[in-house]
Amino acid sequence: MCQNNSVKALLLVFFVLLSPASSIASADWGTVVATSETTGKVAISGDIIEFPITVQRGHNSSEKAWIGLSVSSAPENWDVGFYEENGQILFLNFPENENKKRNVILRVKTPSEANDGVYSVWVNFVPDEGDISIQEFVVKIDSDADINMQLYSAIPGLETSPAEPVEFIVTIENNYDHRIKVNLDVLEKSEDWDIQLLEIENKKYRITKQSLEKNSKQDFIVRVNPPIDTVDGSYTITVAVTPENGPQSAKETLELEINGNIETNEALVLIPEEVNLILSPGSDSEIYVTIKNTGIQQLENVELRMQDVSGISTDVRMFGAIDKLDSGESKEIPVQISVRADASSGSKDILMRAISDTTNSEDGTIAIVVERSESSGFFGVGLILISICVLGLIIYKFGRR
Amino acid sequence: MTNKNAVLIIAKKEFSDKLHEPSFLVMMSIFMVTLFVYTLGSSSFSNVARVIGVFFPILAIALGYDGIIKEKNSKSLNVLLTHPLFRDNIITGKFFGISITLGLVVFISLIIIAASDFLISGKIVQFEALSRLMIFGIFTYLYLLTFAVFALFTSTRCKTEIGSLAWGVVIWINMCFVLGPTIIMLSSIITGQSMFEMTDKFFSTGALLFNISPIHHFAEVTVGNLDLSYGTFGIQRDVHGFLDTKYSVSYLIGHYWQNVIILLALPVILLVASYISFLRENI
Repeated sequence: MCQNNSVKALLLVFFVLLSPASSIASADWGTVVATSETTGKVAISGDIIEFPITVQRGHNSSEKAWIGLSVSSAPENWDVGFYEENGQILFLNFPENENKKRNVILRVKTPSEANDGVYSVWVNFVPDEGDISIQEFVVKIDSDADINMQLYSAIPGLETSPAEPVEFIVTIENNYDHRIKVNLDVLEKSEDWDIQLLEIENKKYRITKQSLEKNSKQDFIVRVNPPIDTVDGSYTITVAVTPENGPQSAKETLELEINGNIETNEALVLIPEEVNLILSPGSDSEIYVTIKNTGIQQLENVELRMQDVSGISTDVRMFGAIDKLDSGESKEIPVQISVRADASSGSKDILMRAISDTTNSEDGTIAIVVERSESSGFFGVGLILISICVLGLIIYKFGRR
Repeated sequence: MTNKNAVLIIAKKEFSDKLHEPSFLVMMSIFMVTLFVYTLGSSSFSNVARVIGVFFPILAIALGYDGIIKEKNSKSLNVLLTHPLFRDNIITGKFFGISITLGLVVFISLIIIAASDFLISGKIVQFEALSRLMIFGIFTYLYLLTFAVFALFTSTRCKTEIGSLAWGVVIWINMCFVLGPTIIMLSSIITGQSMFEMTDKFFSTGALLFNISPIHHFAEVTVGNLDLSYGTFGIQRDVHGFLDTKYSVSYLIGHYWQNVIILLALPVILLVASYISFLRENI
């Protein structure tokens, strides 16, 4: 009896070993074999799951060989296929003397309406010579599965004053082995606050969805515009990314400290070409004053105003105001500075300020040092002496005696 | 004795007489002090041009009003005509004598004023500014010469020095004070519009009528204004005369060539009138 059982056990082992279905990751023998380390994954309905498969020669051979890759069984409405770099494949050829490993992806696109459960995909690896290998890949659809993404900001806390916009940079990290499309949302914010999720490249477009490559990261901007009447205090903004086909979200909470006493950055900056000028009475000089919008919002009706001081006049040579000055944009304005002939010597400061509809720059100054020209004094004396001499000579020569 | 020499001798004699007269120094002093005050005290050079354009013609008239009449009444003209020279030699000599005297007053005054300005203010000497000042001096000279030659003309027509001076003063008042308001009135009558309506039609009509005024041409070439007299209107143009250093002299000549020609022609026309008047005079 015991001997019979041993014989049965040996036959069962023999049968199992010979059965094609028992080859779990590779064939026992073949000119080309395929192996996969990961044969089961958890996903949510609608996901695209990828299983990496390594294909290599079964033994060293200098002859050419090939292997066929086919899907023998898959759940209804599931798209399953083998892919290499250049697209979907059915066969892989190994030329003569070519022994390099080839990486192939088994890509499984689950339907968005798939119910929770365990699903199997059966595939066949058929070499030109040797055993056929049949492989099962298991996908577990679990709508409650943890999201395999991260949402974080390297600087999640900022301080600003009311009406002074700030920008957080937030990173989405996709840890899935496949591309994923996510929705971006602001889950929590203070009432009446304007929160914008912006593209990192040009800050121009608001984004609502983001598509990410497998195992990749993507930054985006969270621009917060606290209203001018915001009371001092700490405020939180929660942003979230949610895969299109799943209920789970990755969230990040950003903290914004509103402080009305904080020193604000000027949105308009004045950069004069010269801050010190030495001029003589009656002379003039043209300099350029650059107005730059260092803020993050477009400014309208920007103009340069200058304050005359005694003996010095300024002429801002621009046609009215600059209609629009974009964020980061600058304009050069020519300014003619004239010192009157009767201006007294010494240093005088010309005050200047750039103003727009919504803000103005800090006051800038150009120091004008009025210096009398020594040579002009000699020239004047010389001219007077010459004139008197000429007049005297004429009277002497032509005057009636 | 050639006619050329006769003209030069008479011109030299006239110039010597003018230099000797106290009125020359008085005139030069008035010219210089007024310019000095207005140049250093006024913020706009058009004020200086206005004082020159309105008041200085009377100084020019003072130079020429007795040019012929004085010789005639003192009977020295009869003695002069006994010499081998012609009446045109006399009038030409008188013209040159007056012109040189006026030139001396204008240019010496301008040079001394410019020199004082450099000395007091310490401003930088620039050739461009100096050259424009000299051009201003030339136009001032031509403008004043018009009145001086007109005074020479009246001195050939009038019987007395007072009469000649009176004619000069009448013309001066009319040209520098009355003509502006008269042109406004005429413009209103022609266009049927008031000056205060500020219409192009009114101003273009006024600008056309102003062509008969010497002060208009002086105002154009010096400060680019339509008129400088009081009680009238001025239209400031984009180009501010030959003193506007933003434009080159060649450009300004092209821009103001009509005004320049009229300022050059007026003394010549009046000199010709003086010739004709003097030649027809029964002495």
